[in-house]
Amino acid sequence: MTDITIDRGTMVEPLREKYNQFADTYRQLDASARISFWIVFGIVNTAIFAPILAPYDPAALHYEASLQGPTLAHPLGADLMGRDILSRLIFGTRASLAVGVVAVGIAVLIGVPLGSIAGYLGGWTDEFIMRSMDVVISIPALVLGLAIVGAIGAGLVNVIAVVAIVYSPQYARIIRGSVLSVKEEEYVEAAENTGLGNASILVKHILPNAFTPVIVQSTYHVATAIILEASLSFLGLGVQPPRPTWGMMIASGRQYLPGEWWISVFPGIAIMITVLAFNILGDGLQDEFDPRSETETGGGA
Amino acid sequence: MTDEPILKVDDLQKHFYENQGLLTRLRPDQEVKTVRAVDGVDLTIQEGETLGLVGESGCGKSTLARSVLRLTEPTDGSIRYRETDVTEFSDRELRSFRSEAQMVFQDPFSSLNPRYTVRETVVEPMKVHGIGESSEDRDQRARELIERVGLDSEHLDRYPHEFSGGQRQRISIARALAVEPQVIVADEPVSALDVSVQMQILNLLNELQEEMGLTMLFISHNLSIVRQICDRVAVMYLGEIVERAETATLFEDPKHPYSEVLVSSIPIPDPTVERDNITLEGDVPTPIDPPSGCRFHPRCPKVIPPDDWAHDQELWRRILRLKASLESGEVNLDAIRSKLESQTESPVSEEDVKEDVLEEYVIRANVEGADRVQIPPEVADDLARALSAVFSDDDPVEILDRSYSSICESTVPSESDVSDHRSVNCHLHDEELKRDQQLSTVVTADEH
Repeated sequence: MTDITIDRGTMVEPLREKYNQFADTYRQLDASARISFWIVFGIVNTAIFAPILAPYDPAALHYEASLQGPTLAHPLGADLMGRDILSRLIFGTRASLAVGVVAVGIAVLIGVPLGSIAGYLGGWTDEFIMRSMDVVISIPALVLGLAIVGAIGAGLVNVIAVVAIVYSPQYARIIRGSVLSVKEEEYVEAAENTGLGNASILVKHILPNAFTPVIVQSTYHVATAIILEASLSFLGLGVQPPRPTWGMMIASGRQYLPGEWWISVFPGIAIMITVLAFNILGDGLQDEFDPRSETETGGGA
Repeated sequence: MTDEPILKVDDLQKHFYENQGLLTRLRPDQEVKTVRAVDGVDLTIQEGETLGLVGESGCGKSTLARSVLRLTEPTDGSIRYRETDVTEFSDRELRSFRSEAQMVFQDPFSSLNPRYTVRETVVEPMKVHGIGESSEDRDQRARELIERVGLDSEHLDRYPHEFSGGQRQRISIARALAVEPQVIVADEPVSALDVSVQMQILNLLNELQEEMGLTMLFISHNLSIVRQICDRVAVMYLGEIVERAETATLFEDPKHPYSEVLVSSIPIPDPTVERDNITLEGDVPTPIDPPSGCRFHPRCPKVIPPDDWAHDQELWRRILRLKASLESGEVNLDAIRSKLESQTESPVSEEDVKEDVLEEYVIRANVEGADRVQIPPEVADDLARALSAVFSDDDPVEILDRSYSSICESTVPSESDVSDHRSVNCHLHDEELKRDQQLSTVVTADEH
């Protein structure tokens, strides 16, 4: 009996600590960042619970509602084939989030280590890594997308791969520049002077101080990634129908503008809200992660 | 104090290279410029003493400090720490050397990681060197250290930005002491601080040094501070040590003209005291192309005229200055001509331009309010000839060199030991020595 309670205690304790940390961070956020947090929270849940939330099957055809504007039955209207825009929007959250967040996340995971190693070590390592990155950058995103999809086929995972590969050189460049300036800081020399190894200096002293531009860039990239996904899907290289994505919805509604505006405007609004929410939340978190900002707000109070 | 120095720097050189890219190397019209930041420095530091290193900004003090700790790789020379050669350390040896020798940096606002709490800052070096048995133990040590340097243990979880400059420097000192070092290199540790705080930090350093038997290399451009805390002083000028002496001796009787200038620049807090305040002319020359001979000669107030020089030493100095200005291309005849033309609104002759150059560079010495000197006729002739050379595209410097060159310019002064722990690199001193020797030989000859 006692054993069990102790076990439960030790298991719950770290969780509670994590929650407290989270609550602390949340309390420090300003109003716009808090709202953004809840919007992002909502979007993520929409993606998870799409089948429960959507009133119709996103692929179901309701011919009687073809090109119908918003009505009670179809609150956001229907497209040419009478598919419910709201349901498609809700299901489209999945693909868009996957591309926007997962792909950008992977791009960061590829670009940041490469760029920071290049910036920190310099010399030939730097040349080799950055010139390879230049090669990737020199290929237009869509062409690279075509090549990759041509090689491994279309589909959501491949779109994610394309976006990750296309964006990773940009993170490499950003973090490299940032590392180059931070590594000249005296505290890096001081860390060297304590006898710390190169890897630890890079990870503990340089990266945390060089990361800010990456956060800013990635919130912006979430938006452009969703749009890149739209372009790829529009060309038939991205997510395959009938699976809906926001980008594809905008693309398919384009020819009905301005008459049947609801087909592309609502997904557009969805992208805008998502992007804004990520941006503002990113800004807020970044302020929060910077230890200097704490007293600035405290000083104002 | 043992006789064997704890740290012995021998002929240390640190050169930086400009334009070092591959393409510039391949191009014959471009040359790689060498910046001789530290150029052959010898230093010895005895265990437990504080050696001061003074000199103007840009003379290589900080580079020297960093090279001694191998924070930058020295280009050449050796650094012996106890029995070992620091320049030949492997990574592992270097790491253990880092627990012996630590650095306190100049700017406490940039030498602390803004994202590290005080605790992390102080505990990290202990972790690296395996000091302390457990994290509780290290925590305890961090608390003791932070209290020892005059902060409160409550401060441990704060970030650097929450502290003042003086407090930050205390944290920086605590970090250096965390590994129980033998040697501390303090690179202008108080120059970024308010004057009121400077003394507190200096006192702290002094106390800690006595308590822990630390050896200290103290770098500063502030001579009053050096005077207070150093046992011996080395004066550095443009990458070289020009004088070494016990602190008291140096301040009472500086031998090198540069040291004299430095010492004379210390303010005396007594308005009734009058003394010659020697001001230095010009800026520190660039270490890319340091002056020939004695590096201080272009600015030296005591530059030595040749034996047959019959005039004022002041005039001699000014002629050397004119020569240097001509050599560096600072004298722009076209600019002077157009200036004169706009003043007189009529064409000016070569003679007028030459006169103006002489007036500017020699008679008024290019310094506002400087005493005017008279140019004796034979010297004026020489100068006029040299300046004519400028108009006929000849090298005026060469002409001047023929009759106006100094030993200071042509020969590098060697280090001469004056007494124990005391040496000067200056021709003036060489000569004094020579004269003394001659005198003593005369005396001994007389005795026989």
